[in-house]
Amino acid sequence: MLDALAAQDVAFLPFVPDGVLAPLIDRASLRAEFTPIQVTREEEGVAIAAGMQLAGQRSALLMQVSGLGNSLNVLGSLVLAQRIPLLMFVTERGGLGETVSTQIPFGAAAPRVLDAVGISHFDLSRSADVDDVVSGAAELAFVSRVPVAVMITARLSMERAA
Amino acid sequence: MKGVERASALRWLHGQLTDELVVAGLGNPSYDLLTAGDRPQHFYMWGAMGCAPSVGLGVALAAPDATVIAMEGDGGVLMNLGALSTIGWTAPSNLVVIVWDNGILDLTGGQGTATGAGTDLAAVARACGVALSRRISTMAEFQEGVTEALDAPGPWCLIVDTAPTPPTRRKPVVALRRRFVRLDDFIDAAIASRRADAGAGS
Repeated sequence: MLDALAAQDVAFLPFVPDGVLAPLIDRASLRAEFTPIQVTREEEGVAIAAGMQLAGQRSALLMQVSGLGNSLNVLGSLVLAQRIPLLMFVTERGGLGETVSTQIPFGAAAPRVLDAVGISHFDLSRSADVDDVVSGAAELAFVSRVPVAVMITARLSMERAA
Repeated sequence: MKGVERASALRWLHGQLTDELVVAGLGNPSYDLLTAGDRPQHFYMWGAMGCAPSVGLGVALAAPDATVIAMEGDGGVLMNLGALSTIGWTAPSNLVVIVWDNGILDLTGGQGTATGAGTDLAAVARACGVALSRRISTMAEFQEGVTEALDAPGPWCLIVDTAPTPPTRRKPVVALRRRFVRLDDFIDAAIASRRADAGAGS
């Protein structure tokens, strides 16, 4: 995944810590092409990623799906209203294997919420698809200049853990 | 009148700017900056309350050779206080945050905020690691603080005691609606700041 992001000139990785994403961020921090930036809250991450885009640099925002809930207003009133590209990687919660029931209501609704606000989203469920989905999502976001969410599903997390 | 008059201060600031990038938060900062005068290097927000310092941080990190000014009101900063801690942590030397602190939510009816009841945002910023954090109460202090902040490495946080907005102030809503989706000039200016530095270094 990092190679695919590097090939798309993604330089900055604002993120809110998440167990599934932690190994990715750890590896990114060891590579000179990437600058991970830990933020306090996902809407802050959206705003920082938007600022990087305004400075002509590409970033990818990494967060858990609950953070998408924290970000809805900034996605609407900054990213969508002002037509700023944004690439997001969102780890699924509330689906297969969920043991924390509080994750279910928003986690299950998130794809429909994204549909409702008009943000394209794509599931990433198999390792074999990583390159295609990452590069395709990046092209869609940065060339067509729209926000895009890649949903890292529980299936992929399970596959990576196995 | 107590405090700094925002529109006058922005007219003065506009006259000082050369190639600085400016991110203006929704509402009054955007209205009064646009009224003071448009520049290609302005990015006007009209939503995402509290996010202007974070957008400014993103610009500052991604355009490290540009000087970036981010402006927000006290209500917005209180809404996104974590932003100050991230600015303190990442400590971009090219970021100047200006907070127009009038102690009220001006555009929703003038309801009081916590800064009017004692929350000291200059102290908050300092406690977040933004050491160059200063409270400003007069136009002379504003001019002195901005001049220093544009000259010396930051990050800076200037908390400006702000006078009430005059009831006669006009909101340039049509001009802002036309302008706020035109981003290419800002992006080109940010990219040019990096190329200029690369050229100077080679």
